[in-house]
This record gives sequence, C-alpha cells and structure tokens, in this order.
Amino acid sequence: MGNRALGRPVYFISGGVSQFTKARQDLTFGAMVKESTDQMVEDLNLPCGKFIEILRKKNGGTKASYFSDHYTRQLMAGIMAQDIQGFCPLSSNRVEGGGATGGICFQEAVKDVASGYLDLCVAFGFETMSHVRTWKGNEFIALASDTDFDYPVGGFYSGYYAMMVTRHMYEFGTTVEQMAMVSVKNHRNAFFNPYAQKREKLTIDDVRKSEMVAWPLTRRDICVMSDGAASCLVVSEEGIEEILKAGGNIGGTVKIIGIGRGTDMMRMADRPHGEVVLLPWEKEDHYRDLKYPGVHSFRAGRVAAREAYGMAGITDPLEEIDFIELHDAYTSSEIQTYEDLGLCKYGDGGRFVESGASFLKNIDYGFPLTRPGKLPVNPSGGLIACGHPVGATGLMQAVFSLWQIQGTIKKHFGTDDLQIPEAKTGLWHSHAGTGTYVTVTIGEKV
Amino acid sequence: MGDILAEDKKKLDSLLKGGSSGIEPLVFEQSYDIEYVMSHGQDSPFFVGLAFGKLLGTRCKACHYSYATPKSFCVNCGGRCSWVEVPGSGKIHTFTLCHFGSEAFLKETPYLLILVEFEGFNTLFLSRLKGVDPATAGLKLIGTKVEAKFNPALKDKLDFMRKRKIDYKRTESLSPEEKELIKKMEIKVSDLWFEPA
Ligand SMILES: [Zn+2]
Repeated sequence: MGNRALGRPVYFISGGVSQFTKARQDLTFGAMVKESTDQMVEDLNLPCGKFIEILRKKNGGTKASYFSDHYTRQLMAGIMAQDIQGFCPLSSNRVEGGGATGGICFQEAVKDVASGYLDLCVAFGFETMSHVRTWKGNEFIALASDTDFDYPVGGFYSGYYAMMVTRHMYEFGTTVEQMAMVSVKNHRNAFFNPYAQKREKLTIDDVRKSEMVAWPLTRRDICVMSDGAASCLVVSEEGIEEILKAGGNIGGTVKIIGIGRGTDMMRMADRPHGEVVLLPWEKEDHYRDLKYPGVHSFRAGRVAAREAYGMAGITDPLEEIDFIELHDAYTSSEIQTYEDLGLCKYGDGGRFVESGASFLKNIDYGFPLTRPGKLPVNPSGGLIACGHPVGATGLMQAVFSLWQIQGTIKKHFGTDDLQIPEAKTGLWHSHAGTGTYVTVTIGEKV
Repeated sequence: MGDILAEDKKKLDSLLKGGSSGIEPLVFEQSYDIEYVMSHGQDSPFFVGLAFGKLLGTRCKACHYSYATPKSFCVNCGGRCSWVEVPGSGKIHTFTLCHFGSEAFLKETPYLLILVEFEGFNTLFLSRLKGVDPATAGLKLIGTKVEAKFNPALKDKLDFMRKRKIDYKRTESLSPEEKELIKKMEIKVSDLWFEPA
C-alpha cells in the first residue's frame, strides 16, 4: 500500500447541527438543513447573503448527504435542499453510502477542495425517519441488506449486529456488561449535550433490563431513529482568505491530516476467514489463530484506519489522538471499532471499555474505572444518545469534533463538561450496515 | 367556500403582516404500494434447487474458493464460479434470538437467526433455526450440528418438476411453461431453514 496524500491543504472551519429529535414536523427536510447551515454561517459571523456571495465568487460548491429515498418519499431531495439554502446554481451532487453517508460526504468535500476544483464546499446532510412508524423504518433499513438472501429470512439490522457480537463474545469472551458500559457512558456524556435526543443517567442494570430486541442487544444497546440535519464547511487557504476579507471570523481552524475508507461484502455470510489486516505497529503473531474478519470484526474499519493513519503519520493512536467520535449504532460496534482502530488488540475491546480508557475523566458514571480518560470515545454521546438521522449522522460527528478541537464546546453546549482540555487531534469515524462502508477522518488544530 | 372564523382571520392577518402565524404544522398520512417484477437472475439455480430439496452453492473455477451462499463471480479473483451441492448439514457459527424485526416479520417473533458453517466451504449461510425452544438459546448453541429442512409446501410442485425431469442446474433448458411454473412457485430463501441434527 502506497502512502496517500491530499493534493493541497484542506481546512474544516465551521459547522452546524439542527437538533436531532424523534420528529420534526415543524420543518421540511430542506428547512431542517437550513437550520444547520444558518448556524454554520452565523459561527463565521457572516450574514448568509454575504456567505452565498463568497460561494458564488470563489469556486464554491456543495455535497448533499442523505440515505433513503423511501423516508423522504421524494426523489431528488438533494436539489430541493440545495435550492432552499440559496446554493443554486453552484456545483453539487448527492452522496449515499448507508450509515456512512455523512462520513463519505465529508470526505468527498475534502477531495473536491484538495483537488483544486472547489475552494469552499458545504457538506450538508439530513434524514427524516419520522415519516414512517418505527418497525416500517426498520424494514427500510433492512432493505439495505441483501434482499434475495438475507432480508427474506427475517434479517434486520439489530439481528445482524447481534449475530456479529455473539461471535465476538464466543471468540473473545466479551460480556454484555462491557457492552452496557458503553451505553452508560454515551448516555451520560449526552446529558451535557443539548443537541442529543436521549440525555439519561443509566446504570448497567438499566441497560440490561430494558427490552430485549435481538439477543444480546437490548433497546439501550441500540441507537434510535431521528429527524435531523447537519452541515460542515470545508475550505482551501484561498477560501479562508476570502471569508476573512469579507469580514468573517473563524472560531478555530482544523486541518484535515488524514482520510481513509474501506469496504466489505454486503452479506455477512460472505465475510472471509483469513489473515488480519495489520496496522504498522502490529505483528502477525499477535493473531496467529484469529480467523479474520469473520463476522466479529469490521475489515472495512481496519482498512479505513490504516489509510487514514498512514496519511496522517500516526503510529500510536492512544498517544497521538485526543478524542474519537465513532459510529456507535450499537454498543457492540463501539467495542468492535476500538479494535479496528487499533486502540487495543483484536479481542481486547471489552477490556478496553472496562478500563475506562474511553470515558471522560471528569464525569461520574456511577462505577469505578482504572484508567479513565486515556482516549475519550464519543464525548458527545454518540449515535446511541444523540440519535441517528442517517444522512446527517456522520456530519454531526464531524461538527462535534470541530467544536472539541476549536475549544468551543462551552459556547455551543452551554457547559464545558464535555470539553476535552487542549484537544489538538481528533478522529471521526462513520460506518454503514455491518461494516460495508467505513470512513476514518483525522483533523488537527492549526 | 366556508366562512372564515374570527379566530382564523386573526391568524391570517398576523401571517400576512409578517407575524407569527400560530398555524400548527399540517400533518397527513399517505400510503405507497408497489408491485415489483424482480428476477433472481444468475442466482436462479439456487432457488430452483430449494424446490428439489438441495442446497446449492458455488466454487470458483480458477482459485477454488467456495461459497455456501452462492456467488456467480469470485470475490477473490473475479473468476467464474460453477454450481456445487452444499452438504445438508453443518454447524452453527453464530446466532441471535429476535424479539423484534422488520414490520413484515413482527408476527413471527421471537425467532432464531443463525449463520451456518459447512465442511469444505469457505463462506457461511444465513437462515432460521427452528426446533429449538427460544428460551434455552445461549452461547452454547454455537457449534451445534444442524441440518437443512425444506418447506413441505413446495412438495407438490417439486413432484411435478421431478416428473418433468427438469435439470435444476441448467435453467436454460426449461421450457417457457416450466419457467412460468417456477415463477408461480415463488421460491424464497425462507423455504429453507435448519433444525438441530
Ligand atoms: Zn477465485
């Protein structure tokens, strides 16, 4: 594998999130996006007319991120969201890749700026999952699995992830209590995030005793469906100059230092049993007997991490990264993702969460932790607590990451409980159904 | 047109003057039904095989990688695969007990899903596990020997097809009438499930 590079420096300078909630009946999807782009522009201290003027003058463009045409019951929803923002006739295209739609969208914006095609790119995303009732919504998501072989036997996503973690438990001894700790952590973190849909103080017992969906996953091991939108502004050096020239104010600049992406086969049954894709600091004999990725690991996540670390020059994520926002659609997938990202060896994810490494140092979770705060994961509360309006999710994670690195959590959340002191480097991770598409993006304070 | 009530008139006036309308979002229901005409395409022999009580997989002609869930093109080398019979019994690789599901399957809950591994095959097969009390499901299920069961409802059509000597491995040899019959059979992957051996 050769080292990959971006053509020229790319910066992430502003973002906005429209509150994630069960149903936004007061706004249509385009207006929901407008709520998030307005926040993104206000943060630059620019009137929106001025911002649009800059986009038109200085190679501006957009990317629209949304997953399902079924939920909107509207084809070409992207262009409707584009026009309601006042972004026509600028260059744009839709991006779609299941749960990773937002993460892919962000990276496509980065690439358009890196290539020199755009100087400013707005990556905006949304989903309106409230348009159908919960179990019909589950059916729509299940249609994002093989509809000839997997869906007809009663396959649905919570069931697929349950089978994956059941094998993880069998293979590595991961426990349901370790999974529940992820749920406690993320709900507790979200307690301090006003954008989150579920702000709850839970115990491990609360998680285990909530309704079983697909053994071993309970309702509190699983993220909820939401309506929501999010927007990110990615720019070149010229883009920054133009904003400053127009009287804009940048609350903190993040340089994109690494992007990576991997894929895997749709059907879990097809996942091979081969050799582990190694990170540069790992040795083959760490995994002599491990059949990889099997259904217990996400090869796409490992490939994405390896690419992004390679580009960013990261060789020790625990020391070089200050926080991670990752795609915890399930508590189990957060644990599996620790391993894909090389925060610990394959099989050690359960013990990693138990050590407290992924918790915040300053928050009381109701149980003792041996090394809290080594590398906080999902300080925002993640998908489990913030909600998962698919097309918006990966962008929401990027925005929360930006605010961490900018040091503007207090400004945006009204409290600094979730602010990681002197956060310099952050990683955000986006993931589609059973690990079919995974993106890893790394940003650093300028 | 009906008369405008005083209260509504006030809302409308406020709206036109640029004030808050006080109008609640108008929520409505709408249904959306579609009949799709689908084809199993190159995977069709698998489904015809089910009618004959056979589980068909594939094997790459070039690298010999084998698929318990058929793939016509090898994901390792891009080569063509040929059809092969998968043994009727295997072992549970992993499982889950579903208390919920997609809307279409809610009435069937609770049900067990398993991935089955087969001797001599590189990939797995997703199916239902029946004949096990869901209340007893636990990690100990992993490794349990299971065997394939085929939906008895397919039997009439199957007998008919046997009499007609249809070669299930060669769909191109079917007459239009026979093809029509197979279409009517609506063979689904759920016509196959596994039970403890
Ligand atoms: Zn091959």
